[in-house]
Amino acid sequence: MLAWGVLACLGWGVPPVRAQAPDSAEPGAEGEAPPGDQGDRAWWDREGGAPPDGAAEASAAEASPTAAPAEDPAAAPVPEESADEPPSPPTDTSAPSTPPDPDEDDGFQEGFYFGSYGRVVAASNLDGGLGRDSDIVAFGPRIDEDVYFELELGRQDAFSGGLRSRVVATVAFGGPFFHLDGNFDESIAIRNLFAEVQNALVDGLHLWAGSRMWRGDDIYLLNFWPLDNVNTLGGGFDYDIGQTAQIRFMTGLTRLDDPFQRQVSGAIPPQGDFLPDEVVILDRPRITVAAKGTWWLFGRRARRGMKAIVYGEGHFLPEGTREIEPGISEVLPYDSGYVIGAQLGGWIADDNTFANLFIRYASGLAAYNPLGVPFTEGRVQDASRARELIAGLSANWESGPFGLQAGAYYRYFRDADPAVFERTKLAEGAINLRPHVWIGERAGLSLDVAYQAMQANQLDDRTGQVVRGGVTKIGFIPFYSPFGRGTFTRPHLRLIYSMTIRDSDAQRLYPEEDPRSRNRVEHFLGIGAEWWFDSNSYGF
Amino acid sequence: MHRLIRASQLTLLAASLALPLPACVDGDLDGVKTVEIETHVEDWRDEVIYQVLVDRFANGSAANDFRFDPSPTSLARYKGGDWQGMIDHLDYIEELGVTALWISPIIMNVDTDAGVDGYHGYWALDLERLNPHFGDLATLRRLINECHDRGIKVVLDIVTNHLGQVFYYDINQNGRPDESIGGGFPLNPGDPQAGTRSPVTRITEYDPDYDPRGVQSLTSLGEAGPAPIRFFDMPEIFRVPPSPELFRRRAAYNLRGKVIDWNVREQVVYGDFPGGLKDVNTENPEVRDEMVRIYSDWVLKLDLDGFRIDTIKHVEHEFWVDFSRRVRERLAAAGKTNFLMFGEAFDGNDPLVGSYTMPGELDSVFYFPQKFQVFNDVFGQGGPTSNIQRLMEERALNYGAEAQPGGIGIAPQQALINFIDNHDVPRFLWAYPDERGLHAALAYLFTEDGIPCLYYGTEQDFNGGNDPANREPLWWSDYATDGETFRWTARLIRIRKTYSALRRGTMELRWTTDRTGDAIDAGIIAFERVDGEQYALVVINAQGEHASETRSPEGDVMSVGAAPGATLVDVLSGDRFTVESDGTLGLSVDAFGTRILVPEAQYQAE
Repeated sequence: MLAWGVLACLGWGVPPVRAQAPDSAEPGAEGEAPPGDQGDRAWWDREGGAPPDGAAEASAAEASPTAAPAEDPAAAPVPEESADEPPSPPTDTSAPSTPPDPDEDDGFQEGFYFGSYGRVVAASNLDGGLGRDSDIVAFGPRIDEDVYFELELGRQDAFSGGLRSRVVATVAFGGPFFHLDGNFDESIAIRNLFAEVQNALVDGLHLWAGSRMWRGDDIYLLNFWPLDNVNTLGGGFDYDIGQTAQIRFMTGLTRLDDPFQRQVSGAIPPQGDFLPDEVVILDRPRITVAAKGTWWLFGRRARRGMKAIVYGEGHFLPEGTREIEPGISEVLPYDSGYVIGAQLGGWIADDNTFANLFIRYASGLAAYNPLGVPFTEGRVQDASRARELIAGLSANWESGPFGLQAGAYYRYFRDADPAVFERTKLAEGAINLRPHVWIGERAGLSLDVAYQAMQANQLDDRTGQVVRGGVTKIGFIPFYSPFGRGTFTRPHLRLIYSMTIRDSDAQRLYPEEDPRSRNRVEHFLGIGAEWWFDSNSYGF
Repeated sequence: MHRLIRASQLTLLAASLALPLPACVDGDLDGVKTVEIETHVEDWRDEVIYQVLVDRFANGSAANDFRFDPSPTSLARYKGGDWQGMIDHLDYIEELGVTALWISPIIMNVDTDAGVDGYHGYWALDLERLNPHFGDLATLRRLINECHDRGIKVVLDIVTNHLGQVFYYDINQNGRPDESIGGGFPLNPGDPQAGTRSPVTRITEYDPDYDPRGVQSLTSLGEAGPAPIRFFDMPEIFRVPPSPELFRRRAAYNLRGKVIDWNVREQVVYGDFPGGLKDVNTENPEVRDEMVRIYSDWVLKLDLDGFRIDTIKHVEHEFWVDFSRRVRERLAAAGKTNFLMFGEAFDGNDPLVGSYTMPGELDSVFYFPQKFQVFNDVFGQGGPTSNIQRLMEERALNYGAEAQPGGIGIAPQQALINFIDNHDVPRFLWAYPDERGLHAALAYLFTEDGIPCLYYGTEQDFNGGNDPANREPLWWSDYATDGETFRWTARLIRIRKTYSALRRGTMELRWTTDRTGDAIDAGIIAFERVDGEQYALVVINAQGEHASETRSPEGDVMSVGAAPGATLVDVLSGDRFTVESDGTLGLSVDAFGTRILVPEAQYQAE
């Protein structure tokens, strides 16, 4: 099936469109900047939720997701561990999916700049409650997603000989915001905080170091980076080989505040003090190494172009010892994993049309995002059994007043537990189509149709049937875009209506106490906005 | 148009990615997605039951090692055993030779209470969900399927009498559970001290004393009507309102507080089991319906072969009549017959224990009177073997003589569940630390009539005392199969399988004695088992001081049913004996020794 998909895509020629940054990397012109937002799926997404991003992203990778319907704080698809992660994802960024703009210069301007990605929505479920995400998969359609935004501050300078530098600081915020919950407090995370030197040593070599969201193309409709999505502290380089190829490399570390990687205990000081000393018993950061090669078949800024990407990651976690109870320790063994992946994409810049097909296989530790903890329950000590296969599609087509966005993914995940039957061993997927029509130059109407399904390697205790579920969403989004036409022009002011229809299996994914276990249909009616501008996190 | 076609192609491509969704995980579920209901037992007397406390048998999956204590101490905590561990060690079980597993309760329990965990399974919280400490439904099905593939049956432990400590009586109505409330509650009007001083009363709202009117609430002015019950809301330890929904209603419980006098039948039936285990109102028709539905469903979801039913003496007889009949009918309609239901009435009172086997009730019960009067008193303490004679005579009176309609087809009198020890009593070797005595007891267990039941760890000479010390993790033994007791047990089981007379034969005592100590026949138990043409004579010396003989001090010799002149072979030693012309057989048995004699023509060398 996948092979068919690949062939189909190859033979496509790729839909047409107007151009923009090839890889989501580039910011694009203000106002029509890249879409794609990052996998912020997690906490702002889910009430009560867990932290953003890391989560989200992680989620995919991480374990388990799934287990239960998204958004359910307790059972969300996002891995439990995500709850302890720092907020994250960016969001905006990039346009993973958007094609490059051959006519655009690289947009470099010296001095300070300010950028942002954000989305805010106020929604009702038409039953007296807040509207909320109703996904049952890790990367479900985003039509009913929650609030999230980033502020980005940067400084760029140019020097002689083509040398350039930039410093980027991105602060991310997750909801609920003060004006909703009355708590004068927000969830804040530092995402990007790095410096980059471009054309260092040789022309086309860009060096960077710091905290960075290192990502490629996304599936906008699913808020998902299916191939490369590494969020660490570290450094790396990009090397442009003319206009036809690029090599990217990074390495970074994460040391989560979790007993899987860090454990702190108290000890009586050697002498002369009454208060205990803090002793770090377990301290084992994960090292992630990632490399990516991109080849633009007809040039990076071709009006009709294609690109092929090969990608790989290595994950390494040293051995460590942790205390499981006073006086009793256990050794957590050295762990490792790898990712191999590929992407094939094509675009027609004049029509702002593109398609990207992704495939990614992760093994061992790498099946868990660097912000994810493989185990929160149980005492499995290494991740060598974990596997993940992801296939994804992102596409956009525009013609005159009409347009169509598409996103889909399939994911097969087995966690590291030796148990064969578990809810964290699953297959899931989603397909989301969003056709739109412009009414005039600045207003439009989108129809959003999506289906998602999951099946776990587990049987339901009560029914004896396989644990699975399917959810259909049908929505309408009238929107207003001051920058005019274009799927990825922002900001958008929107009305959003979405109707979620769960099958009976999906209802059973929720605890009995959850109204969603009884409600086959759920509504989401909201008003909101989404924007991005000068959000360079992934640009340059 | 061309672009629209391309857009359609895009759509199809996307759809193609989503289609293979279910296929990938289905493979692992092959063989467990559905259940074929079959009857796996021909005659329950052919079976040897092995009682397994799942949490203590084998830890096969670290994935469910959560909220547990792996240390070798604190046996009141979860230790990590699970169904996967049982699957992994079926070879051990098979080598031992047992043919049926009695597994501890599978349903979700209150996880922990007052420092003790629900690892045993008797603190039900949700009757329809599995205890995640042990695995999931697919794993459990796989365990049962693999057991059936090996000819091993599976008996499930169930409880209908009570749930775990799922609520407290809010006696002072302050909205929180109080360990100890006290104060100047007025005494009952009839109390001579009433009105003369301000008494102090101590009550725990978790587990208040029995009150035939139902637990009463109290204010400073006195009693204030039935105490409200409040369910806990502690999902982090599985302590929430129970399920199904019926069990969130007052009407599902008797609400009379804890049994304080075990001799008062009313308290035994309607009182909470000490420890705050809330007594279910089994007289409520809705409760009965749910119990029948839920537990029948488990059989049909798992293809179980029997129920071991907990605390039956705490439930009214009418319930058992109703429950047994309806479960049998429901299972029979689904193709499951010969389904064994045996109960636990933890009591030495023979008529009481036997009463649950009367017409319409259970197929069998745990033979506690035998546990106390034979295994403890005779094999453990060297008491008179005439205890066995007396019990056998009482058995005819106290236990059902006819097979239950739709039941296992065997009269309860012939299908009693014999056991030496179990999880509720100290292990035999703790009380009587002489392995020879245990071996003699095992010989009797596997040769007497009825259905033998072996408590896990007995084969490993475990010697734990009172609960929870008697619930040792089996992995402490390294699953050794070369120990003397393991080999002795396996050998006895093989012999039982070989000679049908030892399984299905009638049992007639040939020698027991009131004499103990130095008497020539002290400790001798001799009985014949006859199954058609098949014959076995078992002679056991139940005391360990000296060899004994099948003759009295006065010179009387044991007479047997075998024909005069017949040669009998001891299958254990190979020794041969000839029945005298007068039909007697005098022989000697070593201290704690055993002889299992069969006619030479029926003898099969091991």
